[in-house]
Amino acid sequence: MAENIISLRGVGNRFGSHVVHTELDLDVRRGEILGLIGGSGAGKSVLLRSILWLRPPDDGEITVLGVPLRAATDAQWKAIRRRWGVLFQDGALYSSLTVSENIQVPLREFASLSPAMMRDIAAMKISLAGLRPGAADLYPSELSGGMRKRAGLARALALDPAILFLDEPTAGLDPLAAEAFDALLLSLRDALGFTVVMITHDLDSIHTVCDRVAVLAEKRIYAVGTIEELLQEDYPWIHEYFTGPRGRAAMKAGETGKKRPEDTLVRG
Amino acid sequence: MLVCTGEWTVLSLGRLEKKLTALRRRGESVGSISIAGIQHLDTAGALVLHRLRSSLSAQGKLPAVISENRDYLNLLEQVAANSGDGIPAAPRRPGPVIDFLNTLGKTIVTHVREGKDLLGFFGHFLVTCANLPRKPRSVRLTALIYHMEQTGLAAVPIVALLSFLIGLVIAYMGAQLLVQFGANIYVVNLVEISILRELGVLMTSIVVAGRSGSSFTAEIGAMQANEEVDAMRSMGLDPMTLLVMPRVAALFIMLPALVFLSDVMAIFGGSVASMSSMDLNFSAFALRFQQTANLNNLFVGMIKAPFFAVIIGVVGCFKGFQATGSADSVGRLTTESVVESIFLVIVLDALFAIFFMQLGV
Repeated sequence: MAENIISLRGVGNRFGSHVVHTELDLDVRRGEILGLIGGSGAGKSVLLRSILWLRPPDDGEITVLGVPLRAATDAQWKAIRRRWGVLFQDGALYSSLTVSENIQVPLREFASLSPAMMRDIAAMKISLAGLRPGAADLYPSELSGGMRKRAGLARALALDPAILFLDEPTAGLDPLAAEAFDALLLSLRDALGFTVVMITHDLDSIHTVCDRVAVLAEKRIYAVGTIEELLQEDYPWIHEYFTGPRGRAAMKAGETGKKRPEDTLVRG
Repeated sequence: MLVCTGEWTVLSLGRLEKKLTALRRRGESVGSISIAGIQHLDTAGALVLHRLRSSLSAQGKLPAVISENRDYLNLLEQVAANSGDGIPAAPRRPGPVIDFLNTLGKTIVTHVREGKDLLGFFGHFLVTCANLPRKPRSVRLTALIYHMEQTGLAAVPIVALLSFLIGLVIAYMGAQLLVQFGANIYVVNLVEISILRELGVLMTSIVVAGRSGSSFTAEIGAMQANEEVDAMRSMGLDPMTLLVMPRVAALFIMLPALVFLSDVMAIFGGSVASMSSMDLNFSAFALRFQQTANLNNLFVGMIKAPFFAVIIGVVGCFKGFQATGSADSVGRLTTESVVESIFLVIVLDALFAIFFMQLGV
């Protein structure tokens, strides 16, 4: 289980003279849910965009599913992009397509299925992501923020990815919806067995769903580990982050939250 | 017993589908399905398996699934719970005739409704204009000057060049005909009447509708989509005063100026063409123009410019406010704004032509 599905070595990013990352190393293990935290402007989103190769890093090497991205061939790229799913911050749904059509986009592109089958699969993903069936034929502009995130998740899951990238999945959701989203993520991970890398600011969801947390500070991954391990680190920011008033409340909730039966099924 | 083997993933289902359909058509029922031989199973594969299982059931009894793999059984269970049995299928499309009538009716209703909204917007704009003298401070001078530069000054090169070319073409075409009658000199009057009365103002308005009307829609549409307009309203600022007035006023001032420039450039173009195609030199052209040109023609053209300016400005802004959150709405509205303002400009131009004919000017 400890095999690394993503590894970053010596990654550096800069905008002009402004250095965002330098000598950044990070390993993501197969099957884990890794939280990526850091202050505003620490470069979490830039790092995610680097891993996705939307903004290739200026230095260093990123290896995903055993393929070094810098040297990847077109065929390898196609295979990799088929095996990861991304949930962007506001869902990034195609606004001219309905939810069902949005989910069918990757199916249409990569798999050769009949339209009825694609519709059937899309309906299942919609249900898996916790949306009601009626949402299938709605356009993104007709959805609420929480529904857009769920629809984005359904699209990210369309091809049963090995890796799922989530950019602040619970930001902007009300606490109950955020909790439901976390439970959904756990139950899907257990059923489908994917690896998750999630940027988040939500202390509750860090405590409930993340197996390990990576702290982005000082232009690199300052520390990686479980929250208990991170608290051993001698870095004030980490302590303030986890033991501030919000952090303490979340920690208490997290202890009880972890004991939740794992096969709870959540419907939206 | 049915034995499933190999890859049951979303990428390999295309090949499986045909076999499964054939299997279903046989309509036999089986007691159990073994999936022990399946190497890879994902949610799509599990869904197909679930459907297969339902279709092969005997007397309402689902065949048992035999597998040693707990994960696969879990997956199958999850998928079965979410397979949405009984989700309504895609709504049946009506026949082509009904479909056509439906579209036609929808289009008519939308257009009538939009016409009403546009009229309402125009009325709101007029009321704001009427209130202006009482609140002179609400005039945004900086914005006005900025838009005058954007819509007027920045349009000078394109308007000048296009008008020059149009004048050139009209004189050329006219010369070819008039030479046959030996009426060379009338090319001056041809250019004068056609440009001053109609083409100068029409050409300029069309160019400005394409340049500035569209940018009004795009600017305001982007602001609307970004909730900036709502932010303005919530602060008690009136978008009509802040966004619409400066734009329309800038066009109102600059369009007549552009039309005048266009007239001058087109007549200059006409004289260049006359010079090269029939040796009518520049001074002869100017003399003839001075002797025979009717000042009324200039006025008839110029008086239309402010009306067209208001149409272009109001339609451009109105369309901007129609924008919704989606990315394609701004693009669509920009196109509509240009098409509609040009359409309205030409309709109004025709009305003006009838009006002036009745007046006899």
